[in-house]
Order: sequence, then C-alpha cells, then structure tokens
Amino acid sequence: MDFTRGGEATAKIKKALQLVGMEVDTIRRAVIVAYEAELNIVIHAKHGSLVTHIHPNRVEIEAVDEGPGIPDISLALQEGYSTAPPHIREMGFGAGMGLPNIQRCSDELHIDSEVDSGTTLKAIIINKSRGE
Amino acid sequence: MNLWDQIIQQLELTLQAGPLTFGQVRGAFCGDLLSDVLANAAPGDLWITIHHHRNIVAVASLVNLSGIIISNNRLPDPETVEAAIKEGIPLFTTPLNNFMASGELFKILSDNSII
Repeated sequence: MDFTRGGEATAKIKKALQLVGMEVDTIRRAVIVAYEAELNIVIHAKHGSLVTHIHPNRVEIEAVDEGPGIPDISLALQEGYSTAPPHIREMGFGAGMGLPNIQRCSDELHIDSEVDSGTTLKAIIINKSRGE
Repeated sequence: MNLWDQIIQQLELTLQAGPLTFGQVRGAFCGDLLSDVLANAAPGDLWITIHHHRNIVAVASLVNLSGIIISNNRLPDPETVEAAIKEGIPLFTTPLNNFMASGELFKILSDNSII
C-alpha cells in the first residue's frame, strides 16, 4: 500500500459530508475517525476498505481489513499502546493514539477482530445540531 | 506590516509551496504526533512540525489549518511540495527549531490579540 497517500479516502469523505451540509462538529469528528481508521489499514493491514453511510441524523464509518487482527482490543484502546513499526513511528504515527481518538470522537464504536484474519471497525457519529 | 509578513520575517520563513493568497491565521499548534495534531489543532491554526513527508499536508488539509512550518532547516519531500500545491496549503521552512519558532509565533499572535 502507498503509505504517503494515506488520507485520500478521508478527504473524499470530508468533501461528501460538507456537500450534504452536516454540522461542522460532526464533520470534524467523522474526519478524525475516518483518518485514524484509514491509517490503521495502511499501516497494519494487507488491504481493506473504508465505507461511509451518511444519514440525516448520523454518519456511520465502517473500516474492514484483512490483516493481522487485534489480539486484545481493550489493550489497543489504551492510549500509548501501539504495535506500529519504528519507521512508521519516526513519521509521527504509531503513538498509540489512533483507536483512543476514534473512541473519543464516536458516539458508538464496535470492533470485531480475529488474529491473522482481520478487523472490522464500525463507528457511529451522531449529527448533533448546534445547541442540542 | 500585516500578520503574515510579521510571521514570515520573525520566523525567517521560506515559502516552499502554496497559494497566492494565504488564509487567516486564527492560532497556532506545535506537535510531531500526527494523531495529536488531528485531534487537538483547531481550524486556522498555523502548525509547526519537524516532519517533512507528504502526510503532513493531508493532516493540515483535513483539519483546515492555515499553513505548515517545517522547523530546523529541514526541507519538504518533493511529494510534500506537490501535495501542498494541490491542496492550497502554504508550506514554509524555518531555520528555527520547534521551541524557538513557537516562541516567536506566540509573541506575534499574542501581540495581535489572536491568542
């Protein structure tokens, strides 16, 4: 996978969310979730897909990959825990902030993973209107 | 002198790529962990970092930052310059390190009542 192109899928999602007029905070949170999930796929998986469903009241982001899987999901959700290789860390990734960032920005988060098979992550971001 | 001119002069910036007109600077952020920048930088922030690879442009563009300053005389990779042109993100280099660049920028933004 072309690591330097990481973020291109998220940029398309951002554009689509802006086009349909989602709330600014919804877009911000969805962008963080999508980018972290996209980079996780690029860094760890063999291949994967990032699918976004946009509803008037919520954004659903689904990241599905074939890859090493996550042996201990609760450990992976802890800030600072990372399995990223050194050359990725040198680029400012792999600080163990990705999944915690996703969790913080999601209203609902489901992660299913099987070791040596792959990971499915589904995040729901509620489109809260201002003042709600 | 306008704000951008002050920043360019005080931080000894060299423009490596970017649009003809720069966006409004609303604040600043300094950090080298991309997840930290993504989660904590605010739209309009000018970002100081040691990184020079192409992914910094993706992060800056996703968060709507007003520009990127690469510190310590590091030069951007050619793909970083290309991406910055495509995304319209002003990309600068400075001989100052993260600390000195942040200090100078803090002073300017504070004097201009931006922070």
